[in-house]
Amino acid sequence: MPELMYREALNQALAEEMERDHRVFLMGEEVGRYNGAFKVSQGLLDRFGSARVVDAPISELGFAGLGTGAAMVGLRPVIEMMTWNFAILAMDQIVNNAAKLRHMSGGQLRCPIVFRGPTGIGGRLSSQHSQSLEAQYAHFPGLKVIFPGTPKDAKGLLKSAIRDENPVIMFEHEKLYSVKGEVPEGEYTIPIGEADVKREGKDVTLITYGRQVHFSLAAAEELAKNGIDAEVVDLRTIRPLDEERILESVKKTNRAVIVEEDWAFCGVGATVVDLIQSKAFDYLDAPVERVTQLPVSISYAANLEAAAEPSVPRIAEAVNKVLYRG
Amino acid sequence: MAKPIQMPALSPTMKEGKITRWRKQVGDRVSSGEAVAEVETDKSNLEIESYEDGYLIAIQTPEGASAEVGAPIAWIGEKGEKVTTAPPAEKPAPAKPAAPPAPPAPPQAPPASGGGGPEATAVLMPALSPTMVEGKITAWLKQEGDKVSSGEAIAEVETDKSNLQIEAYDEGVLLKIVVPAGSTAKVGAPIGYVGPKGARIPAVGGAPAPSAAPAPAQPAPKEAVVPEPAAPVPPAPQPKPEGRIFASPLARRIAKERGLDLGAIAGSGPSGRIIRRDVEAALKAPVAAPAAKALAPAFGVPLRAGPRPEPRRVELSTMRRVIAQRMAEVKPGVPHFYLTVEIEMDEALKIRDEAKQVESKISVNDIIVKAMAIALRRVPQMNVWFQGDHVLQHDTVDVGIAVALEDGLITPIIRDADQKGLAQISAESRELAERARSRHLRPEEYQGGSITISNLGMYGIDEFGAIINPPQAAILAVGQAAEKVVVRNGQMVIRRMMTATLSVDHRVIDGALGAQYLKELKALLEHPLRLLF
Repeated sequence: MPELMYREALNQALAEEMERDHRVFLMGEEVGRYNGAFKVSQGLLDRFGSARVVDAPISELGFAGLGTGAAMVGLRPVIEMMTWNFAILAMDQIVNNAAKLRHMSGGQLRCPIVFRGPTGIGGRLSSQHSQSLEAQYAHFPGLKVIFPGTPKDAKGLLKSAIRDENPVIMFEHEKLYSVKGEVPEGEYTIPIGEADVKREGKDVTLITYGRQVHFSLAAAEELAKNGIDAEVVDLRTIRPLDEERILESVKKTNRAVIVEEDWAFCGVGATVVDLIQSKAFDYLDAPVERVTQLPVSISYAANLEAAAEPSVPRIAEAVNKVLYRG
Repeated sequence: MAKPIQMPALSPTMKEGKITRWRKQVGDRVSSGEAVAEVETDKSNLEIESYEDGYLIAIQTPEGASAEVGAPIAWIGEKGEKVTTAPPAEKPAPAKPAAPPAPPAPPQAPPASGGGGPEATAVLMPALSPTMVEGKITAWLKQEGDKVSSGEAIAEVETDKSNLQIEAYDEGVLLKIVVPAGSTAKVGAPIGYVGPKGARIPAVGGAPAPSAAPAPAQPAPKEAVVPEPAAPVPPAPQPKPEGRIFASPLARRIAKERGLDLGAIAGSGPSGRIIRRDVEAALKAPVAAPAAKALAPAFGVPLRAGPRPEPRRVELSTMRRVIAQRMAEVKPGVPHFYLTVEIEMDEALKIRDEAKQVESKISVNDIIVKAMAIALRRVPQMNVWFQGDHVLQHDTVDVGIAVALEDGLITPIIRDADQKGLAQISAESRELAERARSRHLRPEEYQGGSITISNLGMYGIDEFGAIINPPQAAILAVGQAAEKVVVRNGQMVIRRMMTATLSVDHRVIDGALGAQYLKELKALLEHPLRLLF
C-alpha cells in the first residue's frame, strides 16, 4: 500500500469525487491559485478550472451561506475554512441554515454540503488559532461531525461526507497534514459513524480521535512495557457516535480513559462518559477518566502550550488510575 | 526562632567532624540532651546532643559530610517552622556561634519561577523509628480536599515497629494523596501535598519540583517515591468502611451473579472500594454456608471441593520484613554463645502466690525481670553495648520484654527496673504489652535497653536459646517452671525447676562473666528475699 501524507489523501478524495460527480465543487479562501493554505487543494484549480475550484474573499459567513444555498438547489459543495477558528463567523449559516433546512422544510430541501478545514493546537498559534471546536458542532442536531486521525481514514471519510445527503463538518488537525500513513489504492470509502479499533488490548480502553489517536497509541506502547495491554478505539466520527464499538470495548476491558484535545467541560468525552455510564454501568470496575486540554486558552509560549496539551505521561497516569496502580 | 546545633569540639585536637549518622530526622522531636547525630572525629565516634528542646527542622550537614567545629549542622525550632536560608555547608567555621538563621518563611512564599500560584508543601514519610526505612500507609484520616491544620493527624502509618500517626506540619488543604492507603513509601518520600487551595503540586512520579526557597529542611528524596507502574503489587485490602459498601459496578454484578456477599469481601480500591480483583479473589476461596459447616463434620463430609488449593503468596508486613532482615544480620554478625542454668523457682512462685492474697497481680515474669535487673546492677560489666571500636557502659538498668504480636514481636522496655517494685514492674509490663499488641508503642519505649527477657514458659517450652537484640549484649531465654525430681541433701524431692539460657555477645562478654551473671540471677530467684537487699 502506498504511503501518503494526510493532505495528499484529502487531495485524492477531492479529486476523485470531483471526477466522479460534476456537482461537487470546492470553495474557500486561497483554495485555488494558492493551492490551499495547507496545500490540500494542490493542483485542483488546474485540473478542474475556476468554476469548480473557487477562491472566496475573506467572508466566512458569506461563502458558508453561498455553499448552503448551492446545496439546497442540487450542488454538492465542499467549503474549506482556512481554520475552524475563523468559521465561528460562519456559524449562523452552518447552524441556523445548513443544519435545520431539511427539518424546517419538512424534507423538501436537502443540504448535502461538507464544511472542512484545519483545527486544534497547531504549534505556537496562540489562543485564537488553537481551538478545538468539535464539541460545539456536535451539539447541534442536523450536523454530522467527523475527525479522522490517519490519511486512510481522512480519504475514506471525506468521500463519504461528500456523498452524504446531510451537512457534514470535517475537522482536520493542523499537525496531521504532513503525517504519513498507508492509503489503499483504488476506490474505497469509510462510513460515517463507524469507530475503528486501532490497537487491540484487554486491560483498558483508550477512546480517542483526531491527533490524540497518535498520542494514545504511543501511550499504549509505553504502557505495554509495564505489562498493561491497552485497546485504542479511534472514534473517527464524533456524531453519530459509534455506541456499539465503544460499549463492546469497555465491556471487554471494564475500564475506560477518554483522550481528547478539546476542553473537558461539555467536551466530546463528557458525552462518551455519559454513554458508558448509562449503557455499560455494570461492566465498570473503575470510574472513567478523561485526559483533555487544560481549561485555559492556549498560550503562544511553547512551554505553556505543551503544558496544556494532553500528553503520553498524562494518558499513562490516567490509565494507572483506572487500573488502581501507582 | 530556629536555633543551630553546632559541630562541637569533641577532642582538643578536633578541627572538624564527619557526620556518620543522623539519629533524628527532619520533623523529629528532640529533647535537650538527646543524641541527634553520630560523628566521627579524629579520635573516636561520638554522639552530638541537642542543647534545645524542639523539633529538628533542617539538617545542614548530611550523612557522610563533614563540618568544621562551630559550624551549624542542623537547626532546632518549632514544629513546622522552616529555615528559608542557611549558610552553605562548606562555609568556614565561624569562631563563635554561627550566623543566625533566617526568619521562617512566610506561609505562602511565591514560587521563584514557574508561575501558577503558590506551591503545595509535600508531606513526607517521617522516620518513626531508627530502623525504619519505609512505612505503609494504613489509612488516610483526611481525604483530598479536606482542610488540615498544623499538628493534625492526617494519616496512619504502619512501621516495622508500630502503628503511628503522621501529622501535618502546614496549614491548608490536603491537595493530593500520592501514596494511597495500603501502599508503602520510603522515609523522606512525599506521601501527599498540603497547601492553600489551588496551590501547584509538583509533578508526581518524577523528581519533585524544587521548592520556592531552597529550604534545606527536606532532604531531596533520592529514591523513587510513588510505586511505579512497573510494580503491579496490588495494595493490601483495607479494612472495610462502616455502613455502605463501596464496590465498583462490575464487582457488584459479579458478586450478584455468583451469589457472593459483598459484606464479606475486603476492598482494595480507594476508600476500600471492592473491585473486580477482590471479588475474583473471594471466588477463589470457596466458603461453605454456616449450616453446611456445622453439619459437615457429623456426616464426615470434606468441605473442600475441587483441586487442592495452591499456596498463596502473602506480602510481607513492614515489621516482618525488618525482623527478617535484622535476624539475618544479627545471628551471623554477633557471635553468640549460650549458658544454661536450672533455677529452683519454688520460693519465687511462693511470692507470686502470696502477692495474690494482698490483691497484687504479679507474674513469674515480673519477678524474673526484677531479678535480672538487680543481677545486672551487681554485675555491671554485663550492662554494655558493643559499638565496633568501643563499648558503651550503661549505668541505668533497663530490661526489655519480648512481646509476641500477631505477625512479629517487639521488646518494650522497663526502664530502671532495678529501682522499681514488683507491683510497678507488673503494671508497666502489662500496659506496655497491651500497647505493643495494638501497635501503639512510641519509639522511645522500645529503643535501647540493657538486656531482654524472652519467656516461652507459658507455651510449655522447657528451654531454648534466643537471638540477641542489638545493641544489647545479652538475652535471657526462659522456659516453664515445671515440677521435677531433684536431689537435695541426699533425698529425692520435687521442686519447680525452670531452665534459663543466656545468649551472650562474645565480642564484649566472655564465658566467665556471663556465668557470674547467671549465678547471681539464680541466687536471687532461688532466694527472692535477696531482692530486697
